[in-house]
Amino acid sequence: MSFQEQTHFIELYSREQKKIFLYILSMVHRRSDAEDIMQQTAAEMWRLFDRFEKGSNFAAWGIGIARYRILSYRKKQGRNRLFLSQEVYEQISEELQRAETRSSKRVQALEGCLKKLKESDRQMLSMHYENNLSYSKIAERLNLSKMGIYKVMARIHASLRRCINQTLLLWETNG
Amino acid sequence: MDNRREPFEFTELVLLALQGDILPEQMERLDGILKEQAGKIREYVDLMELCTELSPLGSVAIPSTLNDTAGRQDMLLHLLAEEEKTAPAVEMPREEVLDEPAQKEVLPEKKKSKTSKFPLFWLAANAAAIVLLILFAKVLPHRPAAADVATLVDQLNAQWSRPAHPPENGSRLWTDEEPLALKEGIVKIRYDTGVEVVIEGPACFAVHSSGMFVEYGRLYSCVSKTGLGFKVETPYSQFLDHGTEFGVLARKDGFSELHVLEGTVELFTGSRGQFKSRQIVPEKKAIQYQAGTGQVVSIAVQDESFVRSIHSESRMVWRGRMSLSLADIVGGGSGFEGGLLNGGIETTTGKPQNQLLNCYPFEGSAGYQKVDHPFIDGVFIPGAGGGKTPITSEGQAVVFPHASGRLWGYIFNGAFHQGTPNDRTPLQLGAVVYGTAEQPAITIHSNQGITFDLSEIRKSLPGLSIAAFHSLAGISQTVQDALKNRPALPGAAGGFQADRSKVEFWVFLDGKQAFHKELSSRDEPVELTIPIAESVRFLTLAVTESDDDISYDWALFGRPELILTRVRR
Repeated sequence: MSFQEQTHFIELYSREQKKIFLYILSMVHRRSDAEDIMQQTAAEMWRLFDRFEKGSNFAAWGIGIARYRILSYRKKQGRNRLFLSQEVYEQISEELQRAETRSSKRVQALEGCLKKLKESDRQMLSMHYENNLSYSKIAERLNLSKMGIYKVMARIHASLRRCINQTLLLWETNG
Repeated sequence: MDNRREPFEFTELVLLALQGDILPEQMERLDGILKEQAGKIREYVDLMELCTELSPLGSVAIPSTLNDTAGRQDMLLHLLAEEEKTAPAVEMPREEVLDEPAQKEVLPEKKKSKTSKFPLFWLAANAAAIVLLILFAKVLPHRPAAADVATLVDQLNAQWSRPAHPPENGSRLWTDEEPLALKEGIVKIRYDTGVEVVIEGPACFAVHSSGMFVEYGRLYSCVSKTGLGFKVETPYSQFLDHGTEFGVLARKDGFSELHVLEGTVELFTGSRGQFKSRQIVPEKKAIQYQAGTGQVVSIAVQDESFVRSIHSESRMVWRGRMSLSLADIVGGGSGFEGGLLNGGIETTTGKPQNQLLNCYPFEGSAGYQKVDHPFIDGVFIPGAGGGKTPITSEGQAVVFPHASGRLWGYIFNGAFHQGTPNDRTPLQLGAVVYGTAEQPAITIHSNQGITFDLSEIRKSLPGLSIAAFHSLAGISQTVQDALKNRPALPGAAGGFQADRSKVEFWVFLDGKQAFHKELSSRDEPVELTIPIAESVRFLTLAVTESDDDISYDWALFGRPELILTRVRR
């Protein structure tokens, strides 16, 4: 790959990686496995970039590559991992296609909603998402039960989701 | 679902699935909710999107007004204690045991910002670096699920202090295994991505899906294109590969060194998640990082100090030298090290011989003698038995026109002569004295020959090709002084000229003559460079007596080397 092509790949990948990861995460749901598949997908995309049709949908191309990786992952994991039913995965896939056209204002809404959270809730999110601590590790650090951490995290995530949707509705209503 | 009793049940199930903690009945419950309740598919995707945005892959940073760790912890403890009081008992799966080696137990510190917050102009200006940062910092920011990601492909003199059942050649290495402690010796590991790592003991290390953690030790890494984004992590620094070859030395005292042999490597100082600085280290440069002071200083690159390849069968250890000493091989070594000075092979038997035992000429017939060294096919005595002399184990044979089958000494890694009437005399070509570590040589007194097996050498040096044979060839200048002082020897063999000695030098490739020249002790040595094709298996060196006898045939090959080249991956 020439330097120019590398740069082009980087631009496209930087822009679209979130969409590809969202697809993988939704279809695999175990985050650590999704990250592994994302890495494999990224390496494959890099290797096959000369076959990418310039001007076509880069994210869709990446998702196509990821799809094979996910199938292979499911086959390999077999009974070791728990999966949803095929019917549900198909519905999720359709919803993801619809989600692609959703407002980019969701990110702005999320930023606003994060500010509205209690400081302690933000710190909990930070421990997990920014400092990379698993729920088990957070529970261990705080000398609390893992179950308790799940309860708190579920509340925070549900609140954030509700806040985002309300914010978007408000913006839509007020033009 | 009873939303009054379990208001966040659905979200909790999704989080359990994300963490990999979900139980079969919980997964069934989640599946049922997704199938049956309107809007839950959308909610599921919303949650996944939220997790993506909050993760290092996303573009949203979590704001905080608190910088005080203790304050944060107090607040969290208070909050969680309150929640815990009201939480119902729920069966939880067994916890995973984390295996992060040598990670200090520290309270999490707030990151200032995510990598995705870098300005766009910086992105554009550092495009090549960014893709790797993306792969490194965003795609692989978390501890991956346990997986076998690499294979231990070879080991040499490896002594393990951990684990109790050390890995063998061919063992798969898992990301959740306890760190491996190599007391001494060298091991070679190949990742499924094609990345090859050679580690020298003492070392303590663990494989990760995207790289390797080295608590201490010496490591060389050769990263293939498919191994893009490979990183080497030490307790106080990380090295992100940009498609390169580099060596890392991690010391127990907090010093680490990076030697970039090819390409470029990005250095991140500080421990994981708390990077202090980053810098690109270009090819043929080296830096030393001192964790205590945070100083990064340039040091001289050591391009032959890291073991880059091993081959246990032949005991080959390659540190990057691009020539292989045939003299070292004759001395019993690998071509890079281990050869004994004055060590060699008894031509009449093919057995190792480390000293001159018989300084009287041998007369008789000995066939082609196989040698017990992976890189030496055999030795032979030109002219012994008359007719064609076999010069390879495959039966390739040639006629040496001037060879009586008489010989002195043995073929050895060194350069001296000793025998009646001369005391031990060093050999030299021009003004250079040979038979030292700096000026190695193979002494082949006339009517002896040796054949090297290049196929075996190639096998032990994957990624390298033998391009040529290079050497000086000549009779020692010291012969002339010896001749001046030579006492009268009535009845010396016919043809001997009192003012010089003569020999014929021969080089064959697969039994075909590649070089032949008669030289006398009055001639200047000849420099040989003979290109070698990849298909050539046997390289043969021989010296014969010419048309005089074997007296004073103090012939040697000075610095006989195989020139190596890289095979592009």
